[in-house]
Amino acid sequence: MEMLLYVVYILIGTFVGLVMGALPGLTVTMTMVLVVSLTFGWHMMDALAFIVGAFCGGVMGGSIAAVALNIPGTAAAVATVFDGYPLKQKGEADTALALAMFFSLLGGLFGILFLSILGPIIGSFALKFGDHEYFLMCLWGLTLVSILSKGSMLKGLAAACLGLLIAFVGMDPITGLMRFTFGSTVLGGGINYIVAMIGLFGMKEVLTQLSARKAFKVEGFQFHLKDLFPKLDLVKKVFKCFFWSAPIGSIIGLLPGTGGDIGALVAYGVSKQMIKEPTRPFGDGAYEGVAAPETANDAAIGGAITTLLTLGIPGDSVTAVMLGSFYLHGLLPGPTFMLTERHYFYMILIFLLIGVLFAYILGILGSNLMLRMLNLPKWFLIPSISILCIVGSYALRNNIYDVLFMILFGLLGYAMEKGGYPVSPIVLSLILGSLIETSFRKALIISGGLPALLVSFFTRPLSLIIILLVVASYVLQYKYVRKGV
Amino acid sequence: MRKLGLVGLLVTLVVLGLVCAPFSYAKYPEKPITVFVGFPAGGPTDVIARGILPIVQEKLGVGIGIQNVPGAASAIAAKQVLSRPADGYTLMFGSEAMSTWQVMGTADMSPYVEFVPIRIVAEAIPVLAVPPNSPFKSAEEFIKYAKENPGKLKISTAGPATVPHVSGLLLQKYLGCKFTFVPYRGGKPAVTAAMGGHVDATIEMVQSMVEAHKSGLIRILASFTNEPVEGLDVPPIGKLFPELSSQLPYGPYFGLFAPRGVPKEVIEVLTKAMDEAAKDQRWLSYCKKFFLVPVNYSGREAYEYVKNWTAKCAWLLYDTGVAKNSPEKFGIKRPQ
Repeated sequence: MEMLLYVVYILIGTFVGLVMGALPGLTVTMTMVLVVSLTFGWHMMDALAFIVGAFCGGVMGGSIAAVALNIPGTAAAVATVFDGYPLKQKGEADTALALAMFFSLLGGLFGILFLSILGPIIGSFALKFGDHEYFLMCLWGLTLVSILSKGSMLKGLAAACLGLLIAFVGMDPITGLMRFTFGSTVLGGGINYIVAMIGLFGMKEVLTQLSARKAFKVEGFQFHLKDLFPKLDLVKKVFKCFFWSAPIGSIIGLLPGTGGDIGALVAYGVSKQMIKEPTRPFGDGAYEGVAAPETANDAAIGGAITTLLTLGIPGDSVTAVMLGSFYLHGLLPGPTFMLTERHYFYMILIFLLIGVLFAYILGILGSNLMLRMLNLPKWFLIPSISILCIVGSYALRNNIYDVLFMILFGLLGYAMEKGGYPVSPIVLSLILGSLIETSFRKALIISGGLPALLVSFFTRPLSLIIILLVVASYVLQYKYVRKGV
Repeated sequence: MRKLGLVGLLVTLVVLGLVCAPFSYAKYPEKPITVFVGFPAGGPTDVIARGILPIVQEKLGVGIGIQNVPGAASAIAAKQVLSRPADGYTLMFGSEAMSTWQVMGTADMSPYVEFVPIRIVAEAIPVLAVPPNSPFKSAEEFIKYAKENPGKLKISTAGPATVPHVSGLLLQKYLGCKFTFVPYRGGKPAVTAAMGGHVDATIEMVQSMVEAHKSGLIRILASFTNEPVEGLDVPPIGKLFPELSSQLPYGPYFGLFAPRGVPKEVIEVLTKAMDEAAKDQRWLSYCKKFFLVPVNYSGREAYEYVKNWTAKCAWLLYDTGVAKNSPEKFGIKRPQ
């Protein structure tokens, strides 16, 4: 009986998460904050069921918006846009959504498996990951620029550098002094990458549509609910990227401070290097380009919760909020928690399982609605998207200046697109930039100088493994290129 | 549909806020109060705010909404509070980060000039800890090694000019040793770095590592106090090194602030509600669980407390070269 009540809470949580996740700017983290403060007075188990449901729903919702609107609903869905939107433009929105949701489900299930079997054993592995490793991993992620450049490498690099410059604005993470703020507190908090993301993808789209001489194409495609289930032969074709994307997602989710967004980006990059003959070129509507990041961002849920429960360390910003809610309910997760309050661990496992399944079912119904909405007239769609962008960027930090920045980014994105510059490298380097900078500078302090740092990249076992992986992926790709010629 | 969902959500929240709090009899407050927290939800300041404010809400009889506006060491939230009418319906739940704004060049605001400290409700206790496989078994060994090898020991902190960093600077100044500080983004990552053995030690609030200490993932050597901390089997550093004791206990403060210009009656109402909430058993057990020291400073006392704290911290940051602005520029006098 009690279990039934929990299921209802999970269902409601998933629904709330899905709706919030699908709204651009209302990130999973934001959803969690709202849900946590809403459930403050509740029973711990009820609250937990609701929170876990919202987590699963939020990640799924972000992907729906990414494909349908070209605005990643959450940061974790940013990599889904790269191929999801081209697919939509080719009239395959339903296929893209079907793939995205199906692989989200698979990724989520993998994450749960990971949490239940490997979690307790390798939880402490996350501790071995130091600044050297974070630096190398993010640097690896940054090589994605080459894919996102779509033709002109030079223009892609220019955009990436612009992104890195923007990432430097605000409080210097090492000295605590202000930089590039021109003496203004407005810039003191830095520029949030989600604000930039909404502007560069969402607002830009609005501006592009407005300026197009021809009214924007009515996508009168017909779709049926059954189209939202992927075709078996298509799944077979792209299934191989699950093998590396799921572990990548779970492991990156496991690491403190990195979550589904970085997991998805790395999985996308690795898939690009591993898959010799994609269904279409990456960035041009490759099915693998949707499946890989979607697997990874959902697999990251299990990883992040593992670190939270076994070590008491939040794996990403979402689990950081979750940790806050544990505190509010008077629980201190950590190694001793795992021994004394083990029933919470199993309950969370079961909640996650139910949450992931609900997210899939609700996701299909929600996508159906979303796709139908895209057939609405432009005079309705364009203002709606603009409002979503504004509300989303404001709600993020309750800061009106973020709305201003979002519009500026929209204009920037529009100008860049006119000039033939890709916009995604800006978002990529904004997400990775601050992590690259802080981890590099901390690694420098820890090793005590540049020569020592360079040596330590090869003497630390984990960083050596990462370097070998990077080299291997390039060698493999090179072989393929030669064979292809 | 999505828009409807959002509107519906907002309406629900507002209605909830109203239903939870029946209208009060007094003149102030007659509508819900917004309290800004300058750090993300789930962080230490937020957790403390959410620990006491629900009780204050009961005492006041109106809803209190917590608004997290993170960024720039809570200066962005403070700016927003100051930009709203000083009518007592917009307040700030602040912490010691406010004391570093001026010297660090974050913002030209002061927690006791632009703001009125209504009540300081808690202090936290920083502790010094080492990784489990560290050769140092005691704080004495640790400091001895640091004195012999200046700059060799690396200490992870929650960020530049934060309490852990300043606590480390205290050790440097009064014990004559030198460390290399590695700033992380918040307390949790700093503790994680120490657990993984990436640094030689860490300084962080006791509540963020007590679980790890109990399970042997980290070893706490000493607390930054003069007296032993209840429920924690570690020596106070003031006892080990008497030359430090004049500066201890050293820890962050947390409290409710109003923008200057708020009517006196409003401050009185708020002070009374906070006083009652601070004596509430729920708050006291909350403090115990998180190793917070419940304190009771309001009015003039709170003003002096924040002023002294700011002076101590600002001069230490300036003397050790961390801050670039001289505290004198802002009329902050050197303590003693």
